[in-house]
Amino acid sequence: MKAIEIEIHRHLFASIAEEMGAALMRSAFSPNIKERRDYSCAIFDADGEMVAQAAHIPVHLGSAPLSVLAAIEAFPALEPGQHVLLNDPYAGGTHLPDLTLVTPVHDEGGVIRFYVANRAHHADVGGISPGSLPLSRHIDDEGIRITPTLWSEELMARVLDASRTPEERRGDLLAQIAANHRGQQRLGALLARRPESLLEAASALQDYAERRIRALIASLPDGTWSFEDAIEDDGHGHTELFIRCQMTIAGEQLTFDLRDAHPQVEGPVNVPRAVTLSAALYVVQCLAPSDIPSNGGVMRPLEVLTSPGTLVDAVYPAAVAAGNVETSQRITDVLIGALSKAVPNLAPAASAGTMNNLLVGGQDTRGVVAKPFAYYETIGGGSGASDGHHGASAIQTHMTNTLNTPIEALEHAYPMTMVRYRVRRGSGGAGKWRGGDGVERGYRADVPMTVTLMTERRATRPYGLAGGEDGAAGENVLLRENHSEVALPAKHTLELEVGDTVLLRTPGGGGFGAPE
Amino acid sequence: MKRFGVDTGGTFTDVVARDDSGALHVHKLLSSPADPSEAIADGVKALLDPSGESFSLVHGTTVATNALLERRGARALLFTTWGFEDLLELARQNRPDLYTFQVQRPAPLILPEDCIGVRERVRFDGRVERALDDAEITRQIEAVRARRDDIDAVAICFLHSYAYPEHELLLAARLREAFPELFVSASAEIVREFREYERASTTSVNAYVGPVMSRYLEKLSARLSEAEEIEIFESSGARASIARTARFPVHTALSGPAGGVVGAMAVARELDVDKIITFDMGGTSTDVALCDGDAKLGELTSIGDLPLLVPMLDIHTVGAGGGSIAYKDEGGALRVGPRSAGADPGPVCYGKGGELPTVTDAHLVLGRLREDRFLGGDMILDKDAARGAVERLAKSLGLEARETAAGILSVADAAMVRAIKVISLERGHDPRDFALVSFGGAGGLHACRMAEALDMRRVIIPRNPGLLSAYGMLHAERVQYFAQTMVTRVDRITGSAEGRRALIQAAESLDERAREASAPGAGYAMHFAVDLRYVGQSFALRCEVDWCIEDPTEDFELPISAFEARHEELYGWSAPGKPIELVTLRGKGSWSSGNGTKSSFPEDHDPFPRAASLKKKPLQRELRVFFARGEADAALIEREELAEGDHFDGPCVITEYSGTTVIPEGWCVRVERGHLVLERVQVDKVAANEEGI
Repeated sequence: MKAIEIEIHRHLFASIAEEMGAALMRSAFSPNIKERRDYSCAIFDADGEMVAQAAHIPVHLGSAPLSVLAAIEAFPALEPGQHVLLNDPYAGGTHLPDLTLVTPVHDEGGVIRFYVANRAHHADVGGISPGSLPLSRHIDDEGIRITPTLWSEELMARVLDASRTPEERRGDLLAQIAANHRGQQRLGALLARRPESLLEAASALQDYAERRIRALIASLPDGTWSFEDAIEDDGHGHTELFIRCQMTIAGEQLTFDLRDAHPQVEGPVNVPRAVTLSAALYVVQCLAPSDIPSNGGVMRPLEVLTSPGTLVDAVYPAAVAAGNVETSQRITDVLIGALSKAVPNLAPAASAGTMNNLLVGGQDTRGVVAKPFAYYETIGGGSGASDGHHGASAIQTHMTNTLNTPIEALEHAYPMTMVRYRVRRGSGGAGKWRGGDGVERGYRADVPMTVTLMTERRATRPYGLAGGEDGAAGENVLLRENHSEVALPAKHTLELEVGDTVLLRTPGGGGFGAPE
Repeated sequence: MKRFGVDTGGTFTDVVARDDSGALHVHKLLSSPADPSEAIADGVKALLDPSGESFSLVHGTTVATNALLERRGARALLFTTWGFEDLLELARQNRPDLYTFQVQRPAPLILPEDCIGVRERVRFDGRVERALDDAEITRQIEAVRARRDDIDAVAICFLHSYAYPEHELLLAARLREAFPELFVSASAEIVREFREYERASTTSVNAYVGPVMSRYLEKLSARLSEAEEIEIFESSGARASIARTARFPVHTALSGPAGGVVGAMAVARELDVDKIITFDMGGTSTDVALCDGDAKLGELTSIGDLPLLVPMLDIHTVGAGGGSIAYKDEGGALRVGPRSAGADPGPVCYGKGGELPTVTDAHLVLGRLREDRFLGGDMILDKDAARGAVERLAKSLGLEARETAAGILSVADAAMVRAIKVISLERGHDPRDFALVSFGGAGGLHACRMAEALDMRRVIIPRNPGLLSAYGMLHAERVQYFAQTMVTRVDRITGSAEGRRALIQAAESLDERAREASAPGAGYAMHFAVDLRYVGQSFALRCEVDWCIEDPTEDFELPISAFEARHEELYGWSAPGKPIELVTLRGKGSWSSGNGTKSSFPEDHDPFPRAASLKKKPLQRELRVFFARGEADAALIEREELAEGDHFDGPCVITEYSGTTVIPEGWCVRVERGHLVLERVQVDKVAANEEGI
């Protein structure tokens, strides 16, 4: 395929994925999708290789293709109009709240030529605590698990039945269908007009990305480097859960060997291999020039080695709720740490290293009729400094990039009052280049409610590099009327009474270079 | 009496005037960037009868835009609710680039140390949790006094002030009393909508540019003291009093590209066309906008990285223009832009030192642009140099030169087609229902290609495209938009007398704000709309309603079925029976008096002065031109030699001072009211450069 066609089709596929995203965001119901944009849309070829994506969330990057592969494996001969829904971390999913919908696109002869897929984070899919990111011990504690299943009214009823907030789920699922329908329409119309060039472009675009990633890797020094960091606890008393990486650069090939990781544990910090792949892809895309398209070609020069049964390649029935959001950040820290040894001038010090997840649920009794609510958000922190750059403050780092929910929207929708939302000054690590500062965010309960905190870097600190200091550890605090601050564990579920305030102080980023 | 539309750009100041007979007069002169009012006054005087003539003008100013882009505004303080001082720095917590190790954030307009918390708190429903007391106000006045020497402005944005503006307004009043010279701006005076970060950003922008704008408007008024009225063109495409702009300059932040859109609409109306997509392709970027009867206002609009919650036309910009540079990237793909050769050095063919081929060079190589017809022949282009640059690129790609030049155009097209899809398909409009109105220096070279790629049937090239923006200002209406966030379930409104009363009161209060904005005795019309959504959604759909504020005894009906139909159309589903809420009530106040008029030109009056008029089809000579579907002989036509009613078929190339229009086979051209109307006569299914929709 000619140089010209590649560029034209890059725009073409990207605009379809983006249009799917716009349809999903605008018709969705949970703030998580519509305000925070915790979703991704993508186009795949008939083999399940990604052709284009409109991604906001890096953690979806490597995992979406596995969802599509799982759907194809379960239903190799999908008919027009059928969709496959799944969230099973052991069959193409990541954690249960992320529901992925896969839809085939047929040509006029009835042959499947593409798939479109979207993944959206649902605020509640059941499980033992509101928000479905519980302090679980078994995957069944975390909510409804859907292996690849054909979409039907019965399936929707099952999801609704499992959720604490069924009405919101119905709206979000309809939005997901609408998004795929849009993608299917657009691709179908193109297929009808010029099938050959479209299919050729889909594969040429992947070859193109592969070429560029190979060129990137070739420009890095050859050798082997290693780095280690740890998840500080699993919420059930198991601490110092190490993750070690041996990184090898050899010519155009990059290998991350993560086989030496702690065995999977009782608490929900395990991740399926898909999440580990996402972290590896994320690190490579950060190194690469920003204009390389995200598609199946990026993965080809990469090798990611994991051992089943470990923290980074968990098997049934490991609990995984927080792995996607927390362990993914630590894997990223480890990979970047290894990279910093190979190319010290390119890799940054550690960022906050946690998504600071907060989940709230209960009965909203502000109206005439009490109604259940479940709310989920993540909070930014400091980003790590690097050679020549200070870190940024109060920002979503690495594997997530969700927006905050506006306070004025949040207070309308949920029985909470924000008491504080500011930059946590001085929390970034000192250095020639300073780490970014974290965030301070406080929530007061206006009705009794259940809160789950799923956080990291409360005991350990985001590392500095080249003599830069570590960022400050985060703090979780309970403020009760007429009481002083009570420190809360990093991973914890508690009941709030009216007037209680939970305050999170998120970690700062590491500094780079010795302070002058 | 003359009415003027004046557009100040970086290089030229364009002046268009209409006299009492309806005739148009135009003047173009170099801008005076140090004090733009100088060129304006000169331009106006050039068209005025020296014996003395009354006049008024509508002025589009880039003073606010430039102050923002160049960060040359005032040092300001921001007062927020205590505990939320860092709203601007926190922004929405997301990073602008997803994949980068060097995360950078743009610096906020107001420094963190200049953001001050005020002890007060209002709840989401407008109830006061902590009153703003006198002691606190006094303390903040003292805080300002201590800083009075190094600040020129103050912005105030408290939580939920759209529901309870009193705290903000109280502090603003007390500050103004204490410091009459200080520019004070409260968010509730600008916008009554929720989302605290976006509102704080809007208010900060207003405070930041306020002192600069005030000084500028004083100078302008002094220079044009004989004017009956001076009005300012806003980002919404409307005009407003100079007094309003002095207080709320934020409304002019993105008025530049809006002028062209309003001008394009005026042209379309003259041709009885009401659905258009505007296509303004300049040297470094291309602006596109969609107008369906009216121009659409954008949601979640911003200037650069600063969100603005004020009405602005929904204009989408993409970094592709005539000066965009083509290159081969590391993966071997041909890329075009976003890097641009700009005006200096400009494309290779300008001969000013540019070495990398641009879109303009590709056109020249393909014979689509004539080296001897650029800027009316004022500038001779270096075709050999352009060909050499394209050949070098072609060699590196392993392609033929002409193939590469054609590829550069196709790649540039792809980016622009994508921009048009964003404003049409993504917003639920089918581009096939629209005419493409093309202007800007490079527009005519790509307009037919765009139309074919998007399966559009009609292209309009306005007369005097270089002055379209000033022309638009002449046609701007006097409009102001009012809004009130309510977030109330529809069944609570319609289900009780109390709810219905609350809605009527809210509408009356918008009407009251419109009355306050009126000159004494000036009549205005108020049109209401409501933003509705299913309970739980956050993006609302705007639905117009037909309410009469004079007769509020009649219940204000809410357009539930229109909402559901639109939802179905846009998203493919609706859920009748599912609870709906009214998010924001909106009012659009229109004043018919004063300067611009809605009406177009009198029927059989040709408003444009014209040098010559040729009756015959002006076939001058044939030239070899490369079209998307291959090479063909085309007629070369000078636009100024065309006359009303002329019509002919493509392929042809029409040149004029401000640009070139390339029309392939399958299109016919007609001159109507001075504009070129291009219709696609033969719509073949598979055009070579077709992108498909």
